[in-house]
Amino acid sequence: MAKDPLSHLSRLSAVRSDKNIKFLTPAVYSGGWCPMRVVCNICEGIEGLSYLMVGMPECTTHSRGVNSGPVGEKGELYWLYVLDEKEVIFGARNGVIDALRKMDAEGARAIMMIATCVTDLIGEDFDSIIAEVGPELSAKLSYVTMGQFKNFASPIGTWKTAQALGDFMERKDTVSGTANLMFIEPRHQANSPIEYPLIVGALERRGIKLRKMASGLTLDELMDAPSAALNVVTTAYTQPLAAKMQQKFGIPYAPLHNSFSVEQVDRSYRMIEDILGIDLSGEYELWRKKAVELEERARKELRGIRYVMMTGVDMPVALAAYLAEFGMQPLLIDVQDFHQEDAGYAAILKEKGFDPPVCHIMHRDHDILIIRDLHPDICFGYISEPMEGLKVAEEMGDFFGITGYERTVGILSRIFDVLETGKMGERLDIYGPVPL
Amino acid sequence: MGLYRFKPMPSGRMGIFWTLSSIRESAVVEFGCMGHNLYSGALLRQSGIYEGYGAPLYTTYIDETDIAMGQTYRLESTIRQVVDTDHPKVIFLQPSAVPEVIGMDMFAIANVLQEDYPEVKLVPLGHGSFAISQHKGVEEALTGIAKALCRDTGKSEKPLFNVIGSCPDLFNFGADLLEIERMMKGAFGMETLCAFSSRCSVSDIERMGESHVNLVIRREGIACAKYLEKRFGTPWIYGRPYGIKATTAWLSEVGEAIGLEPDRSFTDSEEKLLADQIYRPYRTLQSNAWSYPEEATLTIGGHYDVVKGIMTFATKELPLKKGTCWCDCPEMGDETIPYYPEDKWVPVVENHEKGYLMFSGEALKWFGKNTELQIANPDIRYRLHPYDAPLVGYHGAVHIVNMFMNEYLRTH
Repeated sequence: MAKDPLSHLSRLSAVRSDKNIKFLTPAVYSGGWCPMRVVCNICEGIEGLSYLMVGMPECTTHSRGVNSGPVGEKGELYWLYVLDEKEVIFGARNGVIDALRKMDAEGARAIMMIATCVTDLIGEDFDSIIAEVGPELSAKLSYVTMGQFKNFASPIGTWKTAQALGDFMERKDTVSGTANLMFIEPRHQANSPIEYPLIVGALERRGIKLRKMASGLTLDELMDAPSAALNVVTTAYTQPLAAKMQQKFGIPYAPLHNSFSVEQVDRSYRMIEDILGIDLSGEYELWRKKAVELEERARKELRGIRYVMMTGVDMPVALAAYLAEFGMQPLLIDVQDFHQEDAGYAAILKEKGFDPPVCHIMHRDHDILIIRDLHPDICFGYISEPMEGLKVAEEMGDFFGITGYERTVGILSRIFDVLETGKMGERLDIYGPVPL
Repeated sequence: MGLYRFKPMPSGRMGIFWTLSSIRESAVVEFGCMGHNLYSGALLRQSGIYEGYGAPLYTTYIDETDIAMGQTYRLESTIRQVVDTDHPKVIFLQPSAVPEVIGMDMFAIANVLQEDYPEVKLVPLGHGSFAISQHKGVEEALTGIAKALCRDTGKSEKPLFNVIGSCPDLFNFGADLLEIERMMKGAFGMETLCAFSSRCSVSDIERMGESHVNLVIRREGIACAKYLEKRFGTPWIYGRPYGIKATTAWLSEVGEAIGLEPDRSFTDSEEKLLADQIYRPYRTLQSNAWSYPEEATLTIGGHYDVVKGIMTFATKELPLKKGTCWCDCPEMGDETIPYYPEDKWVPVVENHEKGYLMFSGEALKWFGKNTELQIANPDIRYRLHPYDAPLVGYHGAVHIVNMFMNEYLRTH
């Protein structure tokens, strides 16, 4: 009898951190996104924020894209500190401090230090570096530790960076009628427009001043963020920053990122209305109506539908918890990084009778053969080549940062399209008419 | 190493990895964190080592527990999967930085695992420590692979040659290799046995001893050539042919090594064609050099052999003067071509005003200089095909003159 290819995997209920999530098959082809690159991307998206990457030639070389350089458009410094053979043993403290002094002298206003694998391994103490050199510098300092051996991939890199950005904030008086839209993303491409959820337009039409904490944010805006009356969380990556700001500055947050059902969206929108003193009625009637209609259909048709979550699905455990409402059965979930909130979704799934194995898919072309043999009715996420008999809802990244009824409509429509035709329908245009 | 504003000098591990990446019939398994493998793969694809071209690049990942306990099961199970699915003839094993720090002994691990896989050869590499550069890594890879894979053999009946040192880390490697091959065919009717390592297979490497001559086109290949000479008695010559006369001289040197005269009808026709092609441009450069000598200066940085070759061509065969020149490797620098770290080359490039400046695409672009004069990496463009104009050989000579002329036009 053939060995069960999933037998080595942990069940979701047993997972408490990334450590329990095993590879579906051992060979990694060809590598996975290292979180240090994500930090660079995010920092480069914030006007006025400099960074100092501390690591080996591998990290520092690859932290640079093909065309990026050492100075940003507004004079931000993107510098690299490379450890030599002695510093690998004795630490790079003095060299890093010298580098910070030089950056400060060249006018850096705020510097994010990015520690990588070897600096994490040798235990370089960035807290004490900040304690030693911070008082003499004009630049504000913060750091993130991104050693991949304990930070598996880009999600953890993103939320840890977002959280570290909170170090640049100071308490401010609350300005009523203002909110932070928390939309920090790991891979925003310069010059591509950001697709914000419909709540953004709705709030702006009601005179709410929104500080968009996304690519293009300025350092001054970031430092002013504690003056907002509310944080509107649109991605799971920013929830830890929102939680930190709640704890540090008492700013409440509306969790739109994990509000998948109509009922959850209703609740989140009511929270926004209450805190900001506005009325959102009339804004999304058609989207809401369509979402209600699709949820009713889902309750009738999706029970017992077996699925696999592959790579490239945003918040896979949260989504699985939502799909469990309709009785959809997860066979296997790729969890790139276990988020703090995922334990709660795992409990919801267990309560509904689902406790799927979880894994990291690290060799997509190889692992798809194992997934095919599980005979799922539908798969979510990336696939290199179409495979006969396998229905795949690809491009689930379309829903990154999209919230509200429009996301509910988008996800459920895609599921029905793929189940019916084997293919995705049109890409969801949230600014266009509500799909029939 | 210290503080850098631009991409730093790559490590020995990176040099090794890039050298292995293009070898067909093999697989590379890197033990450690995954980022280097992913990003190097992207960089290699940018340079033309596309998916399916050479070795599939695998890694294992390593977590805190593996580090604390010295566990190697990820490496063992990855090798098992690669053997089962890819059936490579050879698996190259390399540690990434973290296993290197904690002292994982890849040679010992490979020795132990080899017994389980008689059908595949495990070749550990990459004990380059943290003190060596990309260039020494390339040298270690070329020599180590040759020692591990070359089989005892006699010389081929048909005269064949190896090119040693055509590796993906060197700017324009694909086009330069094609020009070397074109000239060897034209001058001697010889074909390539092994283009080591940018376009070869394990089988090609195994047969390297059959070659009648080894052409070492960068100094990192000298140790490998010496090893092959000792083991197979194969003569070798070292040098990169830049310029017209220098290329003819290089072909003569090759001829001496193999006891054949280059086909003079080939070399004469090439020289005649080039002389015709560059006659007017030469006069323009010469006239400009006479009137404005400060404009007829070549400032150049990059790989030692490239810098030396182009500078010699520019000053001996063209009417240019030697400006500042430097190489990108501390182990290679000397009085003629010193090694310049970043803080020495930045002011040279930044303040360059008159004359011709050849260097990396990254630096030329950043300082607003003419990127058409790129002769070194880091690159700033994709090089998906190898059919760009070469810099070496006869075709390279006319291309370099073309570059100078376009720069002359741009600045006048």
